[in-house]
Amino acid sequence: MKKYISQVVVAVVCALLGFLLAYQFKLLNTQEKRITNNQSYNQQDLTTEIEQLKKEKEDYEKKNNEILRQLKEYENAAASKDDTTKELKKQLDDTRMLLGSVDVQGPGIVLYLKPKDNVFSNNVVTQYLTDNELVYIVNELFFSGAEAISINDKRITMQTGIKSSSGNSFILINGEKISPRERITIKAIGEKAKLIGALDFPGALDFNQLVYYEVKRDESDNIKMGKFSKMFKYEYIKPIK
Amino acid sequence: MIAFIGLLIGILIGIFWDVNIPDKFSPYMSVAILACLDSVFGAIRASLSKNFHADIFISGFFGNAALAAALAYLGDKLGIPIYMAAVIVFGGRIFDNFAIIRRLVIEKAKSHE
Repeated sequence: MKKYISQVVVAVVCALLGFLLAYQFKLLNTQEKRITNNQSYNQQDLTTEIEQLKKEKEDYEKKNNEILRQLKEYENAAASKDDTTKELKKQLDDTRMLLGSVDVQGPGIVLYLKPKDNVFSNNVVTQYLTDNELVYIVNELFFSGAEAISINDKRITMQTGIKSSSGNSFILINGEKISPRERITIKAIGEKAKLIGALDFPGALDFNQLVYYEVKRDESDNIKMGKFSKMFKYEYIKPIK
Repeated sequence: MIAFIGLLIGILIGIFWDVNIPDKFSPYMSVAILACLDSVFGAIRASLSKNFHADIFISGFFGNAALAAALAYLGDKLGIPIYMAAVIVFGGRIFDNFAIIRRLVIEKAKSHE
């Protein structure tokens, strides 16, 4: 009897060992499969995928513009019926303009920021712009009455976030990249005198890395600015009734 | 004999049963498996030299596995690869036991002729 018990126990223990071995091998096999799947993304696949996605994005933008144009036509047709709809349409158009969903034009300034060439001052290490400097400029402009601002033709809206990548190789605005190593164009539409006054104020543009940038300013009576072509998100905010 | 059948059954269960042991245990599992293999080889050697005691085998099996896993865990926390000690010692013992098994088997074969 004792012999049987001991044999059974030995069998159970061996079963446990077999189970552990099989399980471990299975686990390692599935892990390897997962890893080899990831490694099949070599550089060529990535570049072709990026090209394809860029082309898709362009196609979608074209379609989007076309649909917006049709929408405008329908709205105009509907609003030409009576005065209340005309008033509503006007409010709708104004709201859209302020949100950044339509192209706008108006008087204002254009700022060009270019990294200074190190030709004359070799011991000045060029630090590049980060999100802090851009946010500072946008804040100054809004504070001086800018009604619309765009950076490198990307419209700044109330849901726009500006963030540098780690290592500052690029800055993300509205999810799109701009490079701080090349010229950055900031357009602002508003009252020209106030905007110019704010920027010319002594020390206004002496913020962090801006001192390493050459700032050129143009004024114009007709600055054109593109619209914010993505969708706004409002899944969390709800109006209070 | 029975042990072999038990092993096969265990392997089959391992292949077909989808258990979800949390992934963080898997490095400890490897060392525990090594400890179990060492116990099994010791048991085979003991049974060949008619010295097998089931209780010693079972206590060695679970005890070694638990100690090896505990050492690996401690090594993780301390940042020292202590599991190396378990690997080297158990690996060494497996080879030693295998050498003794080999001798016993060959002597048995010789004495049968």
